[in-house]
Amino acid sequence: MIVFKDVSKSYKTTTVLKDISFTIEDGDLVCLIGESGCGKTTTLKMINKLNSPTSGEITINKQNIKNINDVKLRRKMGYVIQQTGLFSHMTIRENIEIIAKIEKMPEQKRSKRVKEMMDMVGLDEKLLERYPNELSGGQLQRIGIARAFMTDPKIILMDEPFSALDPMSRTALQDELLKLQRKFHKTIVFVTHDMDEAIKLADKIAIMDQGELVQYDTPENILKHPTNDFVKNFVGHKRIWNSPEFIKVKDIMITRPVTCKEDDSKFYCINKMRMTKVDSLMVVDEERKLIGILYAESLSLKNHKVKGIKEYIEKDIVSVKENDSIVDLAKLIKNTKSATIPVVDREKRLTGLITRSSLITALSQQFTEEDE
Amino acid sequence: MEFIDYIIENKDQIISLCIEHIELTALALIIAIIIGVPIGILISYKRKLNKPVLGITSVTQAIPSMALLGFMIPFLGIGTAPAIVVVVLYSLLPIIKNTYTGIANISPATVEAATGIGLTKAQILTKIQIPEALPIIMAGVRISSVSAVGLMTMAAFIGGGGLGYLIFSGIRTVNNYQILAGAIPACILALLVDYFFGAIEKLVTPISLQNETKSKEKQKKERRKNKIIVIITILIIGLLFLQEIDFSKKSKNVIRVGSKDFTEQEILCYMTSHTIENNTDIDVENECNLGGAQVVFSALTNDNIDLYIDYAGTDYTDILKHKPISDVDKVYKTIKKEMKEKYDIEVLNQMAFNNTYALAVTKETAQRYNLATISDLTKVSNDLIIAPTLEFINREDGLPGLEKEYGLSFKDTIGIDGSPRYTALQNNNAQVIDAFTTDGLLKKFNLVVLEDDKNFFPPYYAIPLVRSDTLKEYPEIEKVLNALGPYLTDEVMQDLNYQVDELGKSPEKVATDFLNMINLTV
Repeated sequence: MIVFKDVSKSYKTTTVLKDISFTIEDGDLVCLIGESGCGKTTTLKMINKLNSPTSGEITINKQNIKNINDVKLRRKMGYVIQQTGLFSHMTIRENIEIIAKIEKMPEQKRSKRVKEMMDMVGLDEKLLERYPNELSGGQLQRIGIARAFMTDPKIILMDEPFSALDPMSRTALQDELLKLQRKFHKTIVFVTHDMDEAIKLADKIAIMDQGELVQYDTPENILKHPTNDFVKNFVGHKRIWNSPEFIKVKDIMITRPVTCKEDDSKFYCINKMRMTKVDSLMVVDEERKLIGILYAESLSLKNHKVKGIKEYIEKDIVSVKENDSIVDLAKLIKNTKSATIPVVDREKRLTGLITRSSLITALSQQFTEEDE
Repeated sequence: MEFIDYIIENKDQIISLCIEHIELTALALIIAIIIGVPIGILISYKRKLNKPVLGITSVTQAIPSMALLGFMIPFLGIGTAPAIVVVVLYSLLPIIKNTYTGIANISPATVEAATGIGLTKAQILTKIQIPEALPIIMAGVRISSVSAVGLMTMAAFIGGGGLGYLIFSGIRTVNNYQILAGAIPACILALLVDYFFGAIEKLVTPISLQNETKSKEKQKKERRKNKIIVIITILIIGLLFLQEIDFSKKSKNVIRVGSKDFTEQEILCYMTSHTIENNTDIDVENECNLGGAQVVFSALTNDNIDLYIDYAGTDYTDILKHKPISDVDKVYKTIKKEMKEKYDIEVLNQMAFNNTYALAVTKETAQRYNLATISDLTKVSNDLIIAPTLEFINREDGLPGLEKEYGLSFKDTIGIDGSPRYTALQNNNAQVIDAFTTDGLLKKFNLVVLEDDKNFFPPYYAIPLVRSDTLKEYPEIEKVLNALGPYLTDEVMQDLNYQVDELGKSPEKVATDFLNMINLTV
């Protein structure tokens, strides 16, 4: 756990960081993001003491890093920066194993570990004897990651590692990093200026502006609930449509669907539909648990002598959860061709309803918002 | 081809001088690297120091090497030490500058990355900065090494040896073959050194940074070849040094004989050496051809040499600072007394010849102006240019005194050292030169010596100067040299000088031949 407490940094006349306080939980990937000069890199470099705060303190697992030896501290962290971080006079192997070698990891173990690392970042072992300038930018960045993981540190710092790459390799590396993160659960602090990258990778995003931490939250909350205009502008109105997985069923559902009970009369139900101008009713029990759906068209076709609705209830239905994304929802609708999908919670209690029209309304927002 | 004959005849000397040259250069270069690289690293860390340090080294570089050499003599004496110091000083600038540039040019991001992943400062220096800067540092060493080979020829000027010996004595005796025999190996050596360091430079440059289009296989092959060249060269130089250590085991019974840097002095140097060796059980080391009067005299007082043959007039006026007089007896007695008192140097008996100064002109000039004595010059000196040695210009009993005594005033005075004076005379760049009465070149160039009709030049009888401590240890020297003295008359010396300067024999051979002829036994 890395904790920043009232950390400020100022040079003679300029203040670069103002009272930054936040906590990075173990196993989280946190993105520091902001425009250039906002202090994000300064913040990152404070973690491995390349920079020191003017006031305030930084603790790692409750130990103030001021009291930890610089070199010891740094060797417990991986550090990935742009391509310049690799040493041009060393082979790829030498670059990856430099710290392990200094720390006197036995030769055999070291060479095995190097191979594992190459495998992990998806590169051929043949590259090990090459020099950095013989590799592509994407390959170099993978090597950078391999070097950071080599000594298996708990914390990895990444300073705009992918920003110099072409979009294709950048996407590939982001995916790779996510895969690694899911497997190894490192605590990763990742500086970027690319919001898409941050949303894609981060468990939490820290948005910084002129040395201040403006918002520190999950990507979803930042997209949906920007704290101020700066964040709103920085994130962009339509940003969320680049990440539709963050739009959840609960954001677009009808929260109070019209319901009926299993033992209501046919007449009552037809009347209710007419009054509320719907063509279906959700059938629930006393605890609002979903039993089925009563469609208007099935009622009209059936025998008039039957008073109850029980035999008309469609019980073979699909439902979604509040936290399913609209991407899942869209797939479901496509597969089932169903127009009305109830939303239920874990106990199968009805909490809302998705209809074709509510989905269309939601999806059309991205085009209509433009005119606001 | 006479040149090839010369080379074959003297190949042993050329090879040994060449080896000496390599040793001196290698030693100077190693010292320069040991000093220069750390300074370069230091100023790349302490940027404030970089301007003063580079400034000082640049200024050092700008001092004429001759001046620097002369300046070193009072502190370091003569021989190899000052020569090496001077070459080291000249080699420092490229090494310091390139080390500094190499390290300063490494991108700060690289250094920060190294810091960030947890390297200590020392590790950053040894694992990142020096390796990355090494190609540039080696380029500096390469520049230094090539200029060091050339510069080291100056070592001979103060008795340091090396190929410069051949060049200097060649210039002095107007022997072009000798000059070439020194200059050509020096050139070849410079090229080889350049090639050698080029190989090292490539070796230390990671394959990645060599922007060559050759295939990897070829590059590897080339690296292997370079490695072999470098290793062999280092082995050879190492062997040379080992040999040197073996040789330098000094036997106790050794005295060192020196001499000034002209033919007669060299002959005398070999002659005294061999006479002592032949008639005593003392071993003699030669330091013939050390330099001008001051250089050799300070070599004697600094215990770099034990004895040399000087001239009475030189000691009387130049060293003991007396007004020149022509009383032979008084001069000798004064010298003997004061040398002992002031410098603890013993003066042995005067030798038979008097090599005093004289003025010489070509036959044509003599006829044209009707010159026979120096007094005859008084009327016409306005029209004539004199080209004396630098020593003659600066000595009380040289040109200044002479001009006063005879009322001479030359149109121009061009100081030229050594034999090029004769060439100047031949080309009519000058009409009058100073000369020594025993100079063989007078005969060679068929010159007319003007009579010193007013007896201005003081006596310049040859007198052996010996350090008192040496004489105390080896009193037999005195007897031997006193026995040799009477054989060496003006005529004999002229003839011996002539044999070297005109007939091109080596001073050593002329000296031994003469000794064999007189068959001196004490």
